[in-house]
Amino acid sequence: MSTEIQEKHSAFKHWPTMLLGIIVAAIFIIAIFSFQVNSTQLAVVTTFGKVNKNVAEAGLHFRWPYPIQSIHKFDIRLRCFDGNIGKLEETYTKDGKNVLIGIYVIYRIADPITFFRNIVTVEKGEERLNSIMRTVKNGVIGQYNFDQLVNTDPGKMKLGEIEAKMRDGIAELAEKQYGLQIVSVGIKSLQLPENISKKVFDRMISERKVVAAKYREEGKTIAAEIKNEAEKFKKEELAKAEAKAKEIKAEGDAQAAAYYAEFRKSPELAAFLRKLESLKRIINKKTTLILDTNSVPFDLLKLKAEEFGAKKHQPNLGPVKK
Amino acid sequence: MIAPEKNNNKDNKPQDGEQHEYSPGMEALVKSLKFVFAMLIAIIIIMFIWLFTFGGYFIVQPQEVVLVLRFGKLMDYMYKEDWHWIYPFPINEIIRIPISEQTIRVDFLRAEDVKKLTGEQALKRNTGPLIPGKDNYLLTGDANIIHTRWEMVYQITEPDVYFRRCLCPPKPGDPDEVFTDPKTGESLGTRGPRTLLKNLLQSVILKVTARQIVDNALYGKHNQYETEVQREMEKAVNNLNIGVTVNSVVLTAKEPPLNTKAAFDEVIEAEQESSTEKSKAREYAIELENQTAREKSKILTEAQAYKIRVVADIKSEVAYFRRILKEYRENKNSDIILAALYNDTIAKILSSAKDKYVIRTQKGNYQEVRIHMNPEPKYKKFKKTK
Repeated sequence: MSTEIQEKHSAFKHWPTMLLGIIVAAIFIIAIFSFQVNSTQLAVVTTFGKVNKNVAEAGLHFRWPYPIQSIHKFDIRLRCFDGNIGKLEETYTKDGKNVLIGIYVIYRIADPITFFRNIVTVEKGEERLNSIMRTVKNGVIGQYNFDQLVNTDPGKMKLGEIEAKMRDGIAELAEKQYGLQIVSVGIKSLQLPENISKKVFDRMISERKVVAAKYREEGKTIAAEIKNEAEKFKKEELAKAEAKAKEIKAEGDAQAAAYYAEFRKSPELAAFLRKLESLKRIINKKTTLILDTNSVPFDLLKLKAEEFGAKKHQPNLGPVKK
Repeated sequence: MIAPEKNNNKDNKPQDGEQHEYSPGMEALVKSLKFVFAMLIAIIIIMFIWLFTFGGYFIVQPQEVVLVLRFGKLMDYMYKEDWHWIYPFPINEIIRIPISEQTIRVDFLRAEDVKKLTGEQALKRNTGPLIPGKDNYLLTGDANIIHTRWEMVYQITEPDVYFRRCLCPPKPGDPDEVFTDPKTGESLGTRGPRTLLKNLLQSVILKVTARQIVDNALYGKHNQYETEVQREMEKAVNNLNIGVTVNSVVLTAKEPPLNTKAAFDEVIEAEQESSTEKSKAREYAIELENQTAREKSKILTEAQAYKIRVVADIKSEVAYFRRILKEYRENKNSDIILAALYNDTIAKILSSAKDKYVIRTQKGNYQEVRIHMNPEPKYKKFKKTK
């Protein structure tokens, strides 16, 4: 009896150690028999090298341990690849001009099974993509003239269309065969061969000279137009003012004419007074007068003393009619 | 010999209170194994304690948010600035996504200009032809070459979309991964979200520039050019749906190739000259307009003055005439009035005239009189000084 109690007591005594052992063992078993797939990944599972039909999506999944099953995870997010080879190759446009075009591709692994079967690694995938990009780029650029690559008329500039065509071309070759989804293709550099860039400089300089001359000429022409316009305006305005002034003066004269009727009462007196007034106005400080002694009042100068006493002096009254 | 007997019981198990008797070597091994086992238990217990306390504790900075992957699955909830606790790895994995503004620079410059700007080298500027692959530049719609430098500021506004859609380094705040040629070890480029955005920006700039007139891009309408690039970039980023918002795209530098710069400067100079010429002409036109207004006003004022004067004159003349006429008619010796008026007038005019000559006339005798009329006033002659 005492031995049984002792046995039970002994088993009971070690239960925490055993529990700990079970937990640790459970963790190891879970780790061996499960795998995690992130939300940014898809996983291809192979059983004895054979690819399972279903792709594992995000979450915790059961697996048989290696070597029964192998897990191959692929990041399915957008990647950008700008073609490390072929960036500096000359491409010919439809009109025979050589240009250097650099493109990039934004793609993602959309079908991991196809990708795994045909490519396996991203590096190899990009190597294939690179050669597809070169082929498609040369093919598409060859369909367009140089003035469709650059043009001040947005309707004639076809770079957007070229990018879309390249995307379609690359997608056609890469999607079904390699399981890649081509999201977009962009042109990131458009350059000219070295010797042509020098010629462009020369053309630019001569064009600038023409533009400079045009500006100068335009300045002179517009300035002359402005001046002429201003002078024309002045002439017109002054002519109008003169006309208006004449009108005002005529009004004054008309008003004055009404008063002339008054002079009809004695035209002789009026004429006499006018003459006097005229004399006052005409003769001023600078006038030199040459008169003879017949003129009033110098007629006094020729009188003799004896005549002065004997004869009554009768002054000449000038133009006044009696 | 009691102890060995007890050890030989049927289960061969040690009993409470019993002391096993081992050889000294065995005893030392048992002791050290017991110690190791105790340590193992302690470590496991500490690990469990750590797992449920500090292991799941993390702080989120204000300039980031934290996404959680539970068994790999992205949870809907985002952790923002504060401290938080969740079950640690391997149950949960935290992903820190930076949400502060980030900048991307794109250069379309000569290689040495880029080095100069980044402070790597201070070389003399090259005026030779542009070497493809080394120098970068843009072609405008009128097939001219220009150099520009751009700066884009962006922000991750939808961290979950960004993490789910855009390939980023394991720690999304880190710079893009550099990939090298496995054979030569030479750097071939980078992979990551910044590379993607940079390529996208380059493509947008290239397309917008390819429809610009060189003068507009460099001088006249560069703001419009810049706005157009920003608008197109926003559109391109939105189309990709990567949880990024473009805050601004700024054209930080722009210039024609160095060896055409003088020609471009000449155009600016000519434009300035033209503008000055036009301004002067406008100034002249305004001056002329003012002068016209003054002259016009003078003409009209004079006319008004004439009108007033002519009427006033005639009025005063009439008034004077009326008075004289009254006297002339009423007075019997009217001749005397006239003579007086006449003499007064003669006296006035004679006194006012400067030179007066009175020549006595004699009947039958011809006289010859020589008078120097209007002698020139004498002025002092000044010698012209240089």
